[in-house]
Amino acid sequence: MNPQVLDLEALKQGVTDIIPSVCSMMADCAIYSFHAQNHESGVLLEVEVDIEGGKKEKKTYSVTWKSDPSLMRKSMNDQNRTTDHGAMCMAILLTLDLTPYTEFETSEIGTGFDFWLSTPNETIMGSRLEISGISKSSKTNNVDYRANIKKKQVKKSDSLGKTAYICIIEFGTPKAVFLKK
Amino acid sequence: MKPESSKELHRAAMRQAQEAYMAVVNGDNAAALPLYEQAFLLEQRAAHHFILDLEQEPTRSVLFRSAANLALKCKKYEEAKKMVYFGLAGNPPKEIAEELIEVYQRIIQALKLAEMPSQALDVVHKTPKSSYFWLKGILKTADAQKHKITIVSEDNKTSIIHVPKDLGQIVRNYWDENVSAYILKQGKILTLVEMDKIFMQKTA
Repeated sequence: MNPQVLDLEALKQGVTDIIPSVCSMMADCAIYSFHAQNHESGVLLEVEVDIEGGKKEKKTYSVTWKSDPSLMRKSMNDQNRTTDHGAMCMAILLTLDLTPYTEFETSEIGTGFDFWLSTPNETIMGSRLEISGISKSSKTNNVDYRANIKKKQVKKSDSLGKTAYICIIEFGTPKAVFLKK
Repeated sequence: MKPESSKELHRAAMRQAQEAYMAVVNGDNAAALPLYEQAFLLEQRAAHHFILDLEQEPTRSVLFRSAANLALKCKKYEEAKKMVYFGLAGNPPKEIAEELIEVYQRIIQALKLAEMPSQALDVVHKTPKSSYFWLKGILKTADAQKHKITIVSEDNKTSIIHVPKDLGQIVRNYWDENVSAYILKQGKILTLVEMDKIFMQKTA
């Protein structure tokens, strides 16, 4: 069976509540992050999904794009920012595929945006989405390690009384985890 | 027709805030300021929908926290403080309450900065063996191994500063930006205490 396609160019049209220019920047950051790890359009992304009460499953996606990442180098010098925004792009696309949420509420947190998920029927701030990006994993910095850190952070958020989704993307392998806490 | 529901107002605010964010990413801080101001006015109206509805959490406190951050970004410090007070006056979840307090601390820091003379070095506090001062300039270089950064002030004076923690985050947030750094000076050693970005108006 052919893997499901995640088209990074599709995000550039924008999603509900995130303007196209921000979506476009995030998509370009994802494209460049894959390119920087020597991946080409069509690269397979393995995602460990844990959103059904501890029942884990693995999904494989084919990540595609058309833009030429070699033309983006000058605007992608800040590797951390590129990785973070690239991870946001991937997290949004995975959220659209794996959850019922279609609206991405943001709120200002000083250095950027807080991501909240909602459905058209909800008021606002339905569930929280926590995202983390890694350019290339190492023994001490990989998706499992980051997921554990995020789980602890989210535990602190229990007072919010909202479901939290955690999405960690690693562009080197590439692989990802997507879980519900 | 103007958006009036809290959801529509919040969405309109966040669209403006995202436009402002893109302006900052593209290095146009002057363009970002009025966009942040428009975003603040919209988010303030969205938050006020919940001002008496103390049970609508975390939406209520998240909106007031967001409005406070936006007011801070467009230098409306007194308005920013009010947004924090309103947010804390409800029943904010612990995490959002902590974030509101953190915003308040940044407002106070920004107010101190705004009241300061513009000299690059301005000694504000001294003890017999050490002194604290604010240093304004551009963050130019960083050495991750030695935990040091370099700030070049307006008069081209270069200061090498020890950064005890969060060097990566500091570089990520402030690289090549106009910053104001609160410095501890002990002998010849300069240590970073905290840092914030300065929004600069572009001159013709």
